[in-house]
Amino acid sequence: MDTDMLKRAAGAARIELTDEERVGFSEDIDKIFDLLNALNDAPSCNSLCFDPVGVSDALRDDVPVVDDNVGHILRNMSTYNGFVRGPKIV
Amino acid sequence: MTRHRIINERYRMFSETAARPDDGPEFSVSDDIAAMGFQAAAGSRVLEGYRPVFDATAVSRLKAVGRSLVGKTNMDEFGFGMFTTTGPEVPRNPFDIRRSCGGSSGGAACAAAVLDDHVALGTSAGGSITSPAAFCGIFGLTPTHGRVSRYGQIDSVSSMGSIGVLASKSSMLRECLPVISGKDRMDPVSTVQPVLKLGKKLRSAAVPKGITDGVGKDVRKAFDDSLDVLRGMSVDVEYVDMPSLRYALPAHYILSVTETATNLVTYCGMRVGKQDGDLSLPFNDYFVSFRSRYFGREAKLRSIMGALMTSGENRNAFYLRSLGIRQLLLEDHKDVLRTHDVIVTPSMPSVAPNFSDIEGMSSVDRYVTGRFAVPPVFCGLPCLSVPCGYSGGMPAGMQLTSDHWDEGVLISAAEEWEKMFPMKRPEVSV
Repeated sequence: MDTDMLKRAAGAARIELTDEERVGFSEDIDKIFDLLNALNDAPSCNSLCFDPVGVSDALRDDVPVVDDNVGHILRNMSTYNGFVRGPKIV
Repeated sequence: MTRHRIINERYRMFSETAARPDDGPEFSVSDDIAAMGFQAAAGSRVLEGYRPVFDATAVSRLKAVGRSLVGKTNMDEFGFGMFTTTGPEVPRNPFDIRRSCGGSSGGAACAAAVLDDHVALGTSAGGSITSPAAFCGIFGLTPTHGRVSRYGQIDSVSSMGSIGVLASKSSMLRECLPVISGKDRMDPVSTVQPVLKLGKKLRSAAVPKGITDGVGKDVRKAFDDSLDVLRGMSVDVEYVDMPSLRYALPAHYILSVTETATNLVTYCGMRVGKQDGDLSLPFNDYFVSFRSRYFGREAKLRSIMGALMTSGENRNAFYLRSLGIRQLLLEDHKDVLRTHDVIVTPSMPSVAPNFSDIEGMSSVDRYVTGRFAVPPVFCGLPCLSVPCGYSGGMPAGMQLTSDHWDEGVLISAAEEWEKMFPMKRPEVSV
């Protein structure tokens, strides 16, 4: 795979590759496309199957419940004054 | 006294010491199933340290009937593998420790094969129960997508992921599946299911023509002999055409990487799991740096492939085309299952490979070993792997696929099969 294309795809996936990874991934992706090209001679189908078992709307009862204790959840996180810290937005 | 018996006696001594008086029969769950008191890292460094504050529905239902959760089992990172070699620990095949347990639920299969009367819950989105069950010589049942609530499952492929049961005795499938299945308001997909019906006897089986082409000689012989055993059980075995099967693997790959790329966006080093990095970095740089540092190779590759498959012209050429192919495959399976109870194939094309052989495999080489295990899961169909022969002491598996929601015929088949087929337990090194 072309290095620029790989770099763009990695950027879209929010991943930065090392030089070594770039070489290995490029070879792997070429082989993956060889596998995927088997679809070229597949018959076409007009319907698309997003969910093989079918889904129906299942609304929950409109009753407020406390599912999890917020304090317990926050114990799993590194917090500052009860807030989750994140990187700079601007 | 066999080594298998020795290790179980030692394990019993340990567990009796550690157990509380009211502890019931044991079970374990793979690392991507939430359980209070245990880390749930899905085999990934990204989730190291994440301790859920709730039980997955399957876990709470097993606990409610008196079973005791004894631990988590190793798996491939987010289920991305057929050999359990991409997680933090690599379980070894109890029949030969130089070989793989299969994957991605390899640790679950190992526990179920080694420990007496142990039930292991594993997960599958592309053969991750069938593969390890076959390699470790046990039963592996992947239910219909949605039969078991996925609440509490760290699911990377939303339209295919399922929690299933691995066990060395068929009676445990009958005991556990009804407990963990059923509607759950926390998982909308589970709410469409009909009631699980047990007791339907296996009467007819379809074998796709040419299914053993390219399969190892030893597995082919075990499979052919197994068809004779099925005939001996008064099962009508018929060969059928299923031409769409050859497209299952590439179409599954495309849909699974696209769903994976979306689901893994959650893991960015802030709210869930490991939090590490320079918070003074700009937003985007922080995420890129965190994900690049802590995702494993296969998680990175699949995230990149997912981005590629949904971008620009690839969206039509690959993503939408694969959704159409899934429809074709589903229709092909439904056509066959209208006149047959199950579709039968080998579970895996070989017995468990050596770790040295796995090291030399490319990502595609590894992936194509799942060519029999992928189609049912891709179509949301239930499937069962049963041990069907031994080659050089290593087990081979046979996979039975039934119609949506018809797990009952698979469980009956497992029970009948257990009476007819002499299963072996591994001679574990101690």
